[in-house]
Amino acid sequence: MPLFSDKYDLIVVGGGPAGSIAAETAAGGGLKTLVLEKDRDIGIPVRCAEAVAAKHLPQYIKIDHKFIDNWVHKFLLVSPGGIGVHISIKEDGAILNRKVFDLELAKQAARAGAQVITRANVTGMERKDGLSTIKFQHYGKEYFVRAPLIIGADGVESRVGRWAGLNTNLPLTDIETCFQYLLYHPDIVNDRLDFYFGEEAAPGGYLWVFPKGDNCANVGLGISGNKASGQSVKEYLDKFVQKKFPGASILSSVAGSVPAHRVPKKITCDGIMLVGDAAHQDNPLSGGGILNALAAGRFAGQTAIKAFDLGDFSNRTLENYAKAWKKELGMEHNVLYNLKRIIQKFSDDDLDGIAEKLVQLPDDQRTLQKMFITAFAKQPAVVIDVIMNYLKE
Amino acid sequence: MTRIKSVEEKRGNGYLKVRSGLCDFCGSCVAVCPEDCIALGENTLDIEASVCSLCLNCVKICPLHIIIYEE
Repeated sequence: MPLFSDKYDLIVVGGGPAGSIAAETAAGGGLKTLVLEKDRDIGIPVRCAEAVAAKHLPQYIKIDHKFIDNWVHKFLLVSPGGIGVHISIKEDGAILNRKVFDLELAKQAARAGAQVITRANVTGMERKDGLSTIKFQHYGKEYFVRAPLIIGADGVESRVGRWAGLNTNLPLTDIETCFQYLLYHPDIVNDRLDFYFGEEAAPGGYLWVFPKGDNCANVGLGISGNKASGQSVKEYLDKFVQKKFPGASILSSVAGSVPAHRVPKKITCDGIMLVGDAAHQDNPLSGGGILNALAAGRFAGQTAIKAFDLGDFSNRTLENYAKAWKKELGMEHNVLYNLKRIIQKFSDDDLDGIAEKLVQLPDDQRTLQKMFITAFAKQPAVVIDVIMNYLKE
Repeated sequence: MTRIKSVEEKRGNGYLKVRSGLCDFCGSCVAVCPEDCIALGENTLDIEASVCSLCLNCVKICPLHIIIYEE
């Protein structure tokens, strides 16, 4: 018996969180579903800093300590001039173990009836007479599978979107290029998320130290694509590590990019839906993408079931997925995009000025909200800019 | 074995080169390519030089600077 059928109801390209939840949802609704993952393992490599607000996870997966490496309730924001602002948060911040987390999500999809195949690199897609043909490579052989519905969960590359003629290209101003180490160093603080800002640390982005316990942390940075020149992101990171954690052990290293963009006007077309980073749905300010991707996967899976009920795979039905996502998360996404654009305009001196104001506040008044209010009080013109941008939506 | 098709296509006044062996296959270059001429496999990076418009977005975005443009 061959490993694959030649026809499915739904083919999901990409076995990350968005793809797995979409597949689980659709398969749970009775759709014959195939997930094709390019890499040899689900969840590896981990192109992610792994921090997430834990309260939203149970909608998608039962919290299990085997995929949570650490819990955090404190932030430290460090300005370009070295002023440290300590902020406590009430909600639980989780540092995930994405290798386990992604694998558990894929298992959920498999248990719901989806077929998941790793090392299946999709190399092309064509749509004809209401049916898409997906071409993929698996251990040196070429295979073709067909389905009326395709979900592109193929990350920042978003090749499915491109093949479908959707505009998913990212301008350099709206993508962050990143590099990260998993470090061990005795000076790593185990219960706090650290963020470093400024031209020296991470122009147009930030540098993070997210602890995973046992004095290990994801230490990485992202810089805005339009500010990337001269030294590579790795060189920025190496400078920081040499200064802050000299002699650290490098237990893992990974490169990658995250969209810091608006969600494109069209993320669906006849027979195609894009989810997660492929649809630029991650938080454009922080780069955090997991929760928004999970929500997208769920909505897209539900829409796939609906499309089969109606026997209609046209964009008219599928765009309801995009509308559902937008209704729940679109407004927040727009606000965050506009905030990002403003914050990127701040000079190192502006950031130091904001930090100086914040450290003077008593602990209980020092919140992330207050941080933004202080930032905008410093530059009232930018508030108007945000509102005008927002009204234009 | 890792295989990277090395591109060294003369264009205008310069050459686009991929430094073989250093690629992390992260897809950053694919994400910013307006011509969609970069294809990433599990361990291959192919640039279709005949389609490339030499915008150099991939050169700028690569976190490891493995794609280089030389005059």
